[in-house]
Amino acid sequence: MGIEIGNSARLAIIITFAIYTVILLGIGIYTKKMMDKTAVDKYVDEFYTGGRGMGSLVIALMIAAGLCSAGTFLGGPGMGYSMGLAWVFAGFSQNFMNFCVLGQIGKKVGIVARRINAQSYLDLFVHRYNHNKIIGIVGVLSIIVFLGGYVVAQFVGGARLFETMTGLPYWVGLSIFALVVLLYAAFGGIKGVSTAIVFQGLVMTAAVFALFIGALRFIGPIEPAIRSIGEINPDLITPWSWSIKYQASIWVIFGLVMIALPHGAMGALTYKDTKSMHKAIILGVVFVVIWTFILIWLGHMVRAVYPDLAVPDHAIPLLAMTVLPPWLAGITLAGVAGAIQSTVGAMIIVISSTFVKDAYQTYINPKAKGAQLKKVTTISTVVICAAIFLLSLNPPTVLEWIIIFTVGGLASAFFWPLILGLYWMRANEHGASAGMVSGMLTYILAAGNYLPISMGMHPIVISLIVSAVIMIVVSLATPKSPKGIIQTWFGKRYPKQIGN
Amino acid sequence: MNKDEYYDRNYGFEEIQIDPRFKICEKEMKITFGVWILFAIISLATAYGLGKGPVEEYKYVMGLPAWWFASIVITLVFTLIVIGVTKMVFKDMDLTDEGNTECE
Repeated sequence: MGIEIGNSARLAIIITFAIYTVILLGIGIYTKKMMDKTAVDKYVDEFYTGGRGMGSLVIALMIAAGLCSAGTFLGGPGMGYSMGLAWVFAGFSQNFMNFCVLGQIGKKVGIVARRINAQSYLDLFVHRYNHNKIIGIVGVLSIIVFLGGYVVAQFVGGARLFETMTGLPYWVGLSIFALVVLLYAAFGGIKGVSTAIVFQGLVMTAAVFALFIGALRFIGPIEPAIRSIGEINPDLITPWSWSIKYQASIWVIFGLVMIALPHGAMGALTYKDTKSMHKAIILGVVFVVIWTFILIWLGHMVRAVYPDLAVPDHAIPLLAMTVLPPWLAGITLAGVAGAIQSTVGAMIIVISSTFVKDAYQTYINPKAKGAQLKKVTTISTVVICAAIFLLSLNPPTVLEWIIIFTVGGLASAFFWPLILGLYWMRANEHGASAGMVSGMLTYILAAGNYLPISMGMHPIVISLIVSAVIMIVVSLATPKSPKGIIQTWFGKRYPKQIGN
Repeated sequence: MNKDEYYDRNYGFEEIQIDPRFKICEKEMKITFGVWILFAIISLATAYGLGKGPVEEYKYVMGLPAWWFASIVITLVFTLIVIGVTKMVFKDMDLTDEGNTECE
């Protein structure tokens, strides 16, 4: 069955969504004005990392909303609906993502980023690994291709839902989504994105609570509901529908490896001081536990109400239409939009900073400064948004392929070079580039079923093992990293400038 | 520091005086990893232990299958542990090198 919505309900949904969009436009215009006042020579620093002055709520939501994405409202509950409690249980593995990201890399990245003035995630790798070309080029390409494809998929999902819930054409929804994000990301930079994220995070949380209360009242006593799901198929309410080995490997990818995703690590580059970082961990844990637990579990509970949905990803929107008055259902649509736009906004900043800092400034025009760099920043961010919009209008078939490999591919490429670079002095550029390339290739071969090497686990496990072994062996077989780099990343004394 | 010194690759790691802040960072990284691994192992063991056997014979606690109820309790307990560790174990520090007079 699909979603059926009356005209008056549609109108209420459209009005609520319009109010949400207008508020976001206001945030975009406001942050653009703030950015216009920024001195030209500080523009890029403010644009990409907010002058490293971000407070705790912003950082907490940037990591949480950035990593949660459309999956939280659509894909996650959809899988809960179709695969059952084993999946909902897997969702618990991401509960402490803020703690994992900031606790494991937050402070060290914070100190080093200030020493080397890193403005992008890749800047860290480029410096630590002695401006190695393989790392620079593989890094730039994989971030642009994988994150770009991921952003397109998020837009497509959001615009399709908009079409279903409002009855307006697909391109209208897509244009609204893209325009809003363009305004606050391309002109407001990280400040626009982060201000929007705070608002979106609050809307998402309000939507989640409204849904939870509405659903519990509608479903009634829980035990009979769960028993009835178990009668459809016992696999839906037992963890044993997945082997322990497979479940554990999913925990590794969601819980642990997430820290290496560029849009998650943004928080570590932008927070103000350790006090706000600690608060960001606590706030983030609370938000993520509420979002993932309630939403994914509700996706599962929808099975008791509607046993045969045509599109499982519509579990949450359908639930909203059923148990909430239309204007509150409109808030749910706004919440979904918020989850998508916040992820997309953060990713566009990552893609743009990668392009401007690690491609343009490194390979094309190293001398670019001040006004010119500001112009390049604005133009490239607008072009990125436009390209994403055009691709989403008519999604290419290669997109599905890119999506499958995004999270696993990026994580297998960056995880060990990041962790070992931060905490192992002996890691060098030869080891890191070998580990990066071998990790990504192994992942593509295993996840694409070209080679049967996954051993009943998520393919990320084997690619992480391969990447770790190769990185360690190659590092040990080649000379140490240059002394100046190791001093910067580990020493108390470090070279502020390199003389002749 | 001149170029030759910067790009020197024949040196001993003992020549590098480690910044004490980085030692704290490494310790906190290990603690974070440890807490998460503990959370994962306890959750998996409990869920797969209590969730064993035929679904029809499941015990229910507060309307939820016992294994699922226990998983929720474990998550809530670890939420408190994570908050406690962050508040009491993690150290505040200056992230800039402004007070650090030993830079060149």
